[in-house]
Amino acid sequence: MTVFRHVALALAALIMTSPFWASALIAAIGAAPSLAEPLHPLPWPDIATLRAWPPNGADLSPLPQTLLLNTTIFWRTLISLLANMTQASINRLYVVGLAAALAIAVCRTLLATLAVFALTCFRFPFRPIIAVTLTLPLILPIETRLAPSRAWFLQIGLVDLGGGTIALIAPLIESAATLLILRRLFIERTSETFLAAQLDGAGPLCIWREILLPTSQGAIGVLFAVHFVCAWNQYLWPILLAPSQTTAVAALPALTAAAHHAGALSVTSGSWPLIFMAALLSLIPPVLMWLCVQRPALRLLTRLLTPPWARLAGENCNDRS
Amino acid sequence: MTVLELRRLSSVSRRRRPSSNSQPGAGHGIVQELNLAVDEGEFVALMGDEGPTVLRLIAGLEPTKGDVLIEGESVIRRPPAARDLAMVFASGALYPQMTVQENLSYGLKLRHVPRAEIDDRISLTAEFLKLEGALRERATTLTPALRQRAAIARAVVRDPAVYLLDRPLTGLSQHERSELRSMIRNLWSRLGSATLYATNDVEEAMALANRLAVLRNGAIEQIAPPLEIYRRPATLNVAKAVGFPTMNFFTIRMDNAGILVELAGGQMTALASPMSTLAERALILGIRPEHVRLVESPEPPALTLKVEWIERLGVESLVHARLPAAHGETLLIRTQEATRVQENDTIYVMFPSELIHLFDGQSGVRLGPH
Repeated sequence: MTVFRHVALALAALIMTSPFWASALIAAIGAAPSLAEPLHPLPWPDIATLRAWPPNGADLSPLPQTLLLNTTIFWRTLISLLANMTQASINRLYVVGLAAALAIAVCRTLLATLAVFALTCFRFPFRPIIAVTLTLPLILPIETRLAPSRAWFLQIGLVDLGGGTIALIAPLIESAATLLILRRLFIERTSETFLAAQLDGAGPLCIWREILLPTSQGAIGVLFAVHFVCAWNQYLWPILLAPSQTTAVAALPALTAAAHHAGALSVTSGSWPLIFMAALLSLIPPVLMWLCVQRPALRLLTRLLTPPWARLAGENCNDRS
Repeated sequence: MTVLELRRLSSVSRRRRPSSNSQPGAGHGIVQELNLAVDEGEFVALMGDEGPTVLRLIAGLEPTKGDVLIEGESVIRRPPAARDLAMVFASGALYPQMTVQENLSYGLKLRHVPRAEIDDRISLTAEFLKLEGALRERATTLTPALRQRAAIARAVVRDPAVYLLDRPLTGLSQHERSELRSMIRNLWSRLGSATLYATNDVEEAMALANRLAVLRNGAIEQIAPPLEIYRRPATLNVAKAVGFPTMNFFTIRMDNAGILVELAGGQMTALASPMSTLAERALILGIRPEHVRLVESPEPPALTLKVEWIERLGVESLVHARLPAAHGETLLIRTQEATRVQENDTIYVMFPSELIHLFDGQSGVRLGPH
């Protein structure tokens, strides 16, 4: 039985990692000296362009001839890409993408903790209505909001504000799902401890900062990581913004950029290894983020999935963090 | 001097809250027009579901109607922290990420008490509650007994005019409870503040309190020194709540002279002094298990019973017996003299008439003896 489980797990791991291995293999096919064009998001393609993909003469990615990685060529490709960073504008993609993803993740986490803290711990007029309004975006997925958001942003002239960064971050800073997850955690954490803090004379923000945030570190860290990865992978909104901000805004991961690039501009076949290398590089931040929060993530998941009756058995709810 | 006075204190919420996860089985009742005055140095125990709610209302943690006076001043409009009171919660409610020392000093720091004085107060309190060894430990690593002691210490270092203790011995073993009980007793004899103590445990209430208030339907049903309540419960509910094991109750009929008592099972017993005023009324007779006396012969006024089972608790035994009629009522006897009694034996018992309690069958009000 144990052997079977290990084999199954190993197989699953293989399947899950195979795309990355494939990317690495393509990156090791043999490098062109440089990319012809900088990688940056393209204007929002119309349906006709999408239908016509791949355009005639476009060079699709070559298939690797072997499943073994030629490390020498792999490293050479990496060095060649790093040498071409500025020209391929990958460094800019990285910096802007990283900054935007961090900003979105920080905003989402902070706003969500504040909102949930207010909703669970205080009584104020129209509380239920406000709570429902805050969770409404759950039934309006981000994709449906993008076009109206863009139109509105253009109207009020927000698209160009701060080099486009505000427009990039603003529509993504609220997360209704986070509210729901945190609500459950906060209700458990705060009941009597929150009352005790009130009696000790701590103000609301003081309680939020000194008691709530430190006790929910793990969960908040995990949510931060989730939001970071979501924001890092968020490609639609930056593309949508791109027409007015062709150069300044580019938070999309290099892989998406590369795909658009290849589709529309017929990159020469020599560029493919570099593009896939860039795609691999774009995986580093989310992977690092997940490695950091692995343990708390597991704890949060088990906690959220444990039914209340099973938790009654543990006598002290403050024990777990 | 009256330190704490409650005037027509009521909850605004009309809903009973279900018990929270951390406190299984302990819902919070609704308080209605509760009046109470607590003197300096007095330790008042509140028994009943409404106890915790009363404490929260006084502390200002729930919407309140009525008035709360602390040292003669109305505090109803003040925020919880400005009311000069400290509360101990059933779960301990320590700040989990802080050490015990930080937990104790948190409230004092927010009140800008000088560093040296904080340290003085903490070391003194820690000594009393035997917490010195645990001061550097984080709150999450404490055993339940230490956690509750730290929670009590956090209230004591504040040195307030009023203490509110909400079931502070919850979740402890019997041994730990009695240990902490004597610590509380010891500490409070020096504090001399007014204290309200919510509990559902009769033993705790009797052992600690100067006065015991039995709450029912949101108000005080009886308030008196614990022994007074034990001896003369004012109503049927108070009699049920105070005393362990619970009092035995029988529906009875009395003869015209007020002497002979007929139990529902048909058996007769007699009272030493006649209570002719109670004749012809629906009555309930109560007798505590420890007051039932075993006798040798079945001569009236003794009752004949059949033993169903016996709990032998060492020095004493709990004998569960049944009147032999078709639907005979059960009687619980707590005695030290049951060593020879076996299950299925027939025994004879007597109710000493000075130790019985008579309640009105409808209203439950105590009718005698006075």
